[in-house]
Amino acid sequence: MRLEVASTIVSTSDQPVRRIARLARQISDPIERLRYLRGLLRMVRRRRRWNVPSWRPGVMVVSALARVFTGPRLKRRRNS
Amino acid sequence: MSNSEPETSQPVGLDVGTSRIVVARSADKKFHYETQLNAFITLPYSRLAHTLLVREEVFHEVQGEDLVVAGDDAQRFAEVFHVETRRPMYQGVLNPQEPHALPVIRRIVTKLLGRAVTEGQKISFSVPTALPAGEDALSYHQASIRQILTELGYSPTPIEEGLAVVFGEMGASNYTGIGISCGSGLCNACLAVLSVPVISFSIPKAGDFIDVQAASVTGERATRMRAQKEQAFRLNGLTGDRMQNALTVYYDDVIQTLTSALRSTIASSQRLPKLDRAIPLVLSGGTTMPKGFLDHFIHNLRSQDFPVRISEVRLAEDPLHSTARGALMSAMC
Repeated sequence: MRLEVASTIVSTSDQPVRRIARLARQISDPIERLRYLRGLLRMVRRRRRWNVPSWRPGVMVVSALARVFTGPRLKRRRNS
Repeated sequence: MSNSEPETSQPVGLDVGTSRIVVARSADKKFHYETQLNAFITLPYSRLAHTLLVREEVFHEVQGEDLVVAGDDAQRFAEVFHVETRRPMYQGVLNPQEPHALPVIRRIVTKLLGRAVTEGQKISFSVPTALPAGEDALSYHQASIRQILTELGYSPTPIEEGLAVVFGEMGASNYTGIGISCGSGLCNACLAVLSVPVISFSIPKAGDFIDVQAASVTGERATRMRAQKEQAFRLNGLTGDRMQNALTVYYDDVIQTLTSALRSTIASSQRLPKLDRAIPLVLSGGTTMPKGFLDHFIHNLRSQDFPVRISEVRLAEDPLHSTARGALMSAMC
């Protein structure tokens, strides 16, 4: 399955982005919280099939970050 | 093995500023900082002078025909000899007019950091955001600092100053907000969402601009203006004191330029995320420290519509160290 990262403008009220934010907020240690968010970023950058540019990621990566969480869930739904 | 070894081999944050170089380390879940002035003076070499400097343990080295006194000691000597200190950096990057620039920065960085405890010890160092015509100078600056750190055995990664402020100050907002570092050479700003930098820019007006312009209209030396600014200056309108007035005028100029640039850069961005909640704005750096700066900044920001909703505008808890702290946090992640 190929996930699309078509949107160049993402809204932080998008459900997946809110989910990332909510999960990050549950981490009380600020360094661990930053590590979690940066870890997501690195994971997204590695997945080149998602066409995420490695230069100046900006909004594209925020958009792609959101898909990190929608991806597995979409897959499960299609399999079921 | 001693208990201290794992601590010292931990990641390090380095703020390479036009005015000061700051190292941040973490131990026992607390941040510790060491600072040196990023300045120097030269004295003609003589054996007597050299012996005196060695005996007094003054931070110096011999370069050709010169004795170069660097770091905090340079300020002390400049006051004794009534001379201006020289700067290895100008507007956030290595000063192209200064032949001693790179050796002096190497000496100061080496004094603050020492060699890496383990080969490949992680370090994040701050770099400014390039001015519109300053990409080449920034590339050279970044490569030079990287080379110094690599030679010392570190594994260096650059981080933009504005983003470092976001990392250092905005944990509570999930690393979403606008971080601004107002230093000596530049004001750097970054809007980040969930730790991802979205917009970064810099303006060439900051502390040095205020000192130089205020000195030129009052006939004073820039060093004297800087001392006045750091010791007794309050940003509270025009008074009978001409030095105070000149500083006030150019501080206002910097604040107006910065808020206008923020407004226009964010408004003209086509890739701005739609933010569902208001975001914080944090100011850091030595230029933000005079009393009244925050009020003037807020007044200017609110004088016209701003393209994103701002939840709060505040000064960093520790304005002189927040960039180094953010760099350290970046190195730890």
